[in-house]
Amino acid sequence: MFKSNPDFMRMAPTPERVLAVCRLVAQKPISETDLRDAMSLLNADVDIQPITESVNVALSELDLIKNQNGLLTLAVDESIISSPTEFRRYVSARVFQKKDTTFYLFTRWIIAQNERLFSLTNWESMAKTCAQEQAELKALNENAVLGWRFWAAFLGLGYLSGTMIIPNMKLRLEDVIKTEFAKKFKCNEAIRATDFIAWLSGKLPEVDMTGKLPLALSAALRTLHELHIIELATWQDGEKIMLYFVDGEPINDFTHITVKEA
Amino acid sequence: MSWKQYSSAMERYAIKTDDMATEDAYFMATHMPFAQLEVYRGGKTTATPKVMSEAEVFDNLVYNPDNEHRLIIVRGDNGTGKSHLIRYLKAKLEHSPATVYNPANEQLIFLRRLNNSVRGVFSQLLEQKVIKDNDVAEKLKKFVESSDAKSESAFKIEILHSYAAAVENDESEEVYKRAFHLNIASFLSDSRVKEHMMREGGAISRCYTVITAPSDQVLKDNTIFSADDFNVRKLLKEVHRQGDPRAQDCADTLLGDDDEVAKLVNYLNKFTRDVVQRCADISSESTKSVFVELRKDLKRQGKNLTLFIEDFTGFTGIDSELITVLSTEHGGDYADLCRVTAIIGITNDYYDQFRDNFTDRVTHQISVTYNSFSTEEFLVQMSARYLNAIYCDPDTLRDWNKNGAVLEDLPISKFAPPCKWETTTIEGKEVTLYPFNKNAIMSLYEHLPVKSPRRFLKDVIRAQLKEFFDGKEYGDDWHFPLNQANIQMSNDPHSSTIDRLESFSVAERNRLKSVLAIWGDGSATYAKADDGVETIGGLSKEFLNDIALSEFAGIGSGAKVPEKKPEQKPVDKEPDNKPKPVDGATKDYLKYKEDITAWFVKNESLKYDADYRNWLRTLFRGDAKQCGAVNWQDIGVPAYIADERLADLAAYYIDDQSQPANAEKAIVFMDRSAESRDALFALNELRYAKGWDFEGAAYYQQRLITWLERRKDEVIEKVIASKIDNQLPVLEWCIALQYLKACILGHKIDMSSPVTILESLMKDIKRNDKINRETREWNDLIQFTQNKEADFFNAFNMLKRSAATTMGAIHFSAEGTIKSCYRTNELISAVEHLMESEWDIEKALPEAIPAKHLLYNPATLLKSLYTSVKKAMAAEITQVDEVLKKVEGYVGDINKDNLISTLSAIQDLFSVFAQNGILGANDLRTKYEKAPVEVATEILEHTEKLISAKNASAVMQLKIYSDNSLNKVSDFLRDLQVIAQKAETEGTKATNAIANISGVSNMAELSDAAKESMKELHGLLKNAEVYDDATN
Amino acid sequence: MLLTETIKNSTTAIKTRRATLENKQNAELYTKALLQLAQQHDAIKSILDCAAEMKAKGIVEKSVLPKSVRDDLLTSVGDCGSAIAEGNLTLDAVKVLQTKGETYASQLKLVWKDAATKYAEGTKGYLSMISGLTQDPRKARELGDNITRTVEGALSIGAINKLVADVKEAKDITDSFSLNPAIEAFLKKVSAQQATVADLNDDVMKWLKEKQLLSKLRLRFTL
Repeated sequence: MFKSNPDFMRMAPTPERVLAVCRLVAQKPISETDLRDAMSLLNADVDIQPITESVNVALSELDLIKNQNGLLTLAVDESIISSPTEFRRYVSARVFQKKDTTFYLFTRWIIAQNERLFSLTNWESMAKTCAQEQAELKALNENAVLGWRFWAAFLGLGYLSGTMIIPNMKLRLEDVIKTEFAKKFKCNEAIRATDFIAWLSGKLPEVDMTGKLPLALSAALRTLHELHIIELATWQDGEKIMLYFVDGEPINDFTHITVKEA
Repeated sequence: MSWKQYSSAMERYAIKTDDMATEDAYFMATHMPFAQLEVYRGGKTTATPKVMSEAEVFDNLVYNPDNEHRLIIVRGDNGTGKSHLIRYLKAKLEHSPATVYNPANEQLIFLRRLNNSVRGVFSQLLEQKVIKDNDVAEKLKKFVESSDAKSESAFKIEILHSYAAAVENDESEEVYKRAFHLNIASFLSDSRVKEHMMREGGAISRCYTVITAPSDQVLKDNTIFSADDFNVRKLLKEVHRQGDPRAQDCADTLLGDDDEVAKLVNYLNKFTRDVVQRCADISSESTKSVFVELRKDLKRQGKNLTLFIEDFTGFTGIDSELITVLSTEHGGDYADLCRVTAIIGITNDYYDQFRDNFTDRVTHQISVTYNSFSTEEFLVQMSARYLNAIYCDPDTLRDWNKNGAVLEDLPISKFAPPCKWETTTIEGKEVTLYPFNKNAIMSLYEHLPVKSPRRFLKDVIRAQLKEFFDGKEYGDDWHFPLNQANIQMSNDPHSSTIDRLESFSVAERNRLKSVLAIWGDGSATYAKADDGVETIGGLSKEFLNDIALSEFAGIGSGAKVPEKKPEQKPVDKEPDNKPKPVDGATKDYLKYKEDITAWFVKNESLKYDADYRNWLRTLFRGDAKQCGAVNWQDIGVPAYIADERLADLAAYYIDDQSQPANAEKAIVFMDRSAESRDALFALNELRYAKGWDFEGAAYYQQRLITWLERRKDEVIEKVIASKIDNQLPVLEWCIALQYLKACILGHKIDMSSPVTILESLMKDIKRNDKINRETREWNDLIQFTQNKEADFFNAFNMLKRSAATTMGAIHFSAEGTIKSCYRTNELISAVEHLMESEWDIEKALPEAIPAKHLLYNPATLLKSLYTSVKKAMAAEITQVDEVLKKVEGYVGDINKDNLISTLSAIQDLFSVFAQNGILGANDLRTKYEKAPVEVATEILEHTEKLISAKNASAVMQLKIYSDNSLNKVSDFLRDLQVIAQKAETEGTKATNAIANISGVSNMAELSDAAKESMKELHGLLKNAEVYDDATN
Repeated sequence: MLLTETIKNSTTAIKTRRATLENKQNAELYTKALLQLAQQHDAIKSILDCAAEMKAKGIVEKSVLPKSVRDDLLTSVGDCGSAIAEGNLTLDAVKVLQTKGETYASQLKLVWKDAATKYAEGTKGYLSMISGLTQDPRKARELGDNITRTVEGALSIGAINKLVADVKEAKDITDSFSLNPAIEAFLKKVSAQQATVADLNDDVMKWLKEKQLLSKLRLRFTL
């Protein structure tokens, strides 16, 4: 899933499975054979392939587990796997920094499509169009996108709806804000939008924030604002950051942002 | 002029409550020429009409230079304007130049509303100086005046007596026998009856009104007597008891017989005409003669008559006389009668009723129809005229009227709207439509329940203007514009945005939306034109300021000026109400939209909530192939559990849905709010477009996601019936159930490690009929597992499926063979915890367990199972004790040596049996052929197991006893019993046999005797003489 | 009770029964043997008595009991006696005695027949000769038959004594028969088996011819 391009982005290693592998390994160091037996409970009907792939993702792509003398052991602190939220934040803090992965490249492309995404009414057309337009992703096929979508939804890039993904990065943005914001800024204080975006672009490398903010991010900001998790404001004479225009939305730009204390 | 003055001008002059009371000046100023009038020759309704304009009608029908006899009927339904037409024709005639109308030789009589009282009619006639005969005039005058003077009660009595007299004098026996007439008369004279008839609203009062009400009152009723006058039980009974014999008889007839009552009512009503005439002191002849006299008189004067009767619906007793007179053609036999042009307005209903009376006499019919007045042109013109009339100074108008009310000279008001505004022209002059515009006029007209000029005038022009003037006058509490029909903005996103404007009150939001929907282009888009003019939704901002909606800044920065959306305006559309054919999908889309709107705006119940809840289900749960918007399995909720909990439509509840349900049981609750409305709209759009590829998708996604995110945590908690970080230990419960079941059914469990335990338990555990249990209680446990098979199955199913991972749509978790790997770590944790508790988690089960709850069902089952297990183990222990004691009874202390010696003894016994030809118990014989030490070891193992469990917990006992050691030991005991029995039996047999073997008792004597005899013989032989035969 | 005990009691009873049964059978056999022995004793004693009586009554001159037989019998009797003393008399042993006894008895019967015939011959012959001439011929004939019968019949003390008695009676009759003294003398001699050819004088011959008894006398050699 997170290999350098080109990567098939297999479907089988879903977040649920990868986490289950890590948690099993954390209980006791275990050989891969034993792990396969355990996770299939020796039931002949159970497919082994997804287990193997999930192990690979945990082992080689996300560095969650390591192989010591033939036994798999946990390579990270136990707190990382203590809840899906922690797990998610760990993964999302990492995978978008690796800019040579198919995952990253495709994510970036998807976000940049904005409303055009809606006309790509299914995964196949998304894959085909991207493959045509992005040279480095020319090997991309439907299966890869099908694989990508589970992690995309999991990491909070959007919401799955039929054969499409609704671009709204509420969860991703919230994760970043909840984990990183307080390190740089104060809560309950109006921060200049430009400062905020400058900082944010480092945390969300998959989003191009040089011009108007893309729809996915704009939608996230709007949602967080409506839920009163943040407050967007437009002050006179402030330097505006433009959101992606959506007819009917009251907020299409902001000069300041306040993050409410959790 | 001030706002107050405008308002006043409107109320008092321009648009009066009784619109026919409008004074002439205003009438003329606001008159709308009728464009399309259908004209028929003759009285039949089946001919093809000719379409004429108002002017043409006047020229051809009213203007009668050739003095043709004319009886023209103007027909039309109420409110279509026929009265208006007649009035106008009369006014036009009046104002016509002398070549057309010359008072010297043309008498013009205009009778308003002839359907009011007799008195009213006569007053008018007097006023109009119709009555020529002085005697008659005097008589009528007297009547009119006396109607004022005479006391009401006296008059009423007179009326009642008149009826009674009429009945009494009725010679015909068509309805009743003559004798009965007297009964009726007597009945009517009964004091109680009289009182009843003369009550307020009673027959006599009605009749009184008919005769004496002033001329400007419109009467509706046609009949005097009604059933209510007679079917009063109390009254009838009283008369029956106390009235005179005749009255009694009548009362009896009526009592309880509705048919008789109706008969009497009809009978009496027939006399109304006569009574009226009598009381009004006129006779039909005299009525008729009045008009005949009039014509004669005019003829003598050399004049002709043009008679306008505005509204003719008669019952007053003179209608048919009038018609007769008016339809008599002059000339010939009637050369003494003047020519008459009668123009009479009647409703279509009346015409139908009395058609036969008319059809032969009528010369023309003019039909005023819908077609005449529903075009945009007409309505806009009409609005303009009325507005103009309102905005004009009354005196100016009156002057204009005095001077002939020439249309070309119509005064134009100086009213100036606050900004550039729509206008129209009246006779080439520009007139403002402010505060209306064409959109508003057409939209409001289209949404009238009954579309007629009158209603338009009242409910659109007047109603809206009233609010407008009030608002302008008082400045606060604006209600303008009214929006009875709840016309919605066509741009939903904008509409919903306005709904979310917290700085506006709800009333203001509604007003704003109404203005934008009805006046504007349906959107709230802000735009600034090059010339600096600001518009919102195509409306000048000045206008909005003027109506106290200045706070609203519109939506959008005006980057693009959207085109006008023409959906709301029916531009010159055909005035037929047939909807254009739309396809099924669009129909559904629109019906849902309407339903959702009505739910939010009008607080109505949701009609199609089943469909919406289904959409919500797809949103949260996905469908058979695709994921929903919540990735359950990745956020820590097993796919199976989410799928099951969210499967039933009853889990979704929308406030005020029509499907009755328990809101508290709902997992997803949708409140009635703007946000929810938007979410439903979004889902509706999504459904209609079969995807997100439609205009406004981004907006709708935003609404939907925000709605979702606000409620997601709560929904998750409801799905798992707990907090996300402290979930119910469902897996543990299910594993415990499998474990207990396995023990109960004697299924082997590999206890080496949690994984091996799981492998043993994650299987279908079936009953093994080969295992026989010793206690009824254990068998009851087995029966329990059979009886609750479905519950066990469900728990096991849940265990497997919710522990399995799921890729993609959560629906996959519920179907088919499980091919996906397990979250074994969770299973292991559960097993470890269970092992720590020695598999007895009864105390850890929740106190109160909700019934029939997917997640709690295993706990429910577990609770009753533990109870049963504990009971069974108590019984088992008792049984163990008993069995062991009994075995001890046979074996002594249960140890190896004793067992061996017992077993050896058994073998011994059987061999003795064999040696002694004792048959039977062959199976036992074979069974205990094995070396005693072997068997002893076995038995000892089992008994030690049994003993070891005695101090263990019930669940541990269950496990220990699971492999049925008790049965083995019990079998052994049973064998011992059988063997002991057999041994005893045979032993006793032998002992008895021994006793019965009689020994030879005199053995010793016989022996002695024999001995002696031998001795004797011996002696004999010895002494016997012998011969030596050796040599012989 | 412990099963072992129960079983023990049972097996003991069963074994005892078996033994008892066996014992009973043995006792029965023993008693049977004793009874049979008693019978044999009686039988043999009876034979011995007969033998002695035969001699005593003169039917035989010498003992008719061979020594070997007597010794044999002694042995057998002795055996039986010992067996009784030891309590293990068998039917076989008795059978042996029985056989011996019966063998001698049949021997003796022949001897008797022979001897008895001889003894009674003359008298019976003379009687039969004169039976018709006696006072009671029927009785004489009957007597003659009886004697024949007894001779033919079983040997017993009774038989012996009866023979003797009958012969005596016959003799008495013949003795009391009045005949020509010469004939009488002759008949007497015949019955005594003393008559010789010399005795056949003319008187005798005439008498014989008269009585048609010519054929009734037979000559034989004697020692």
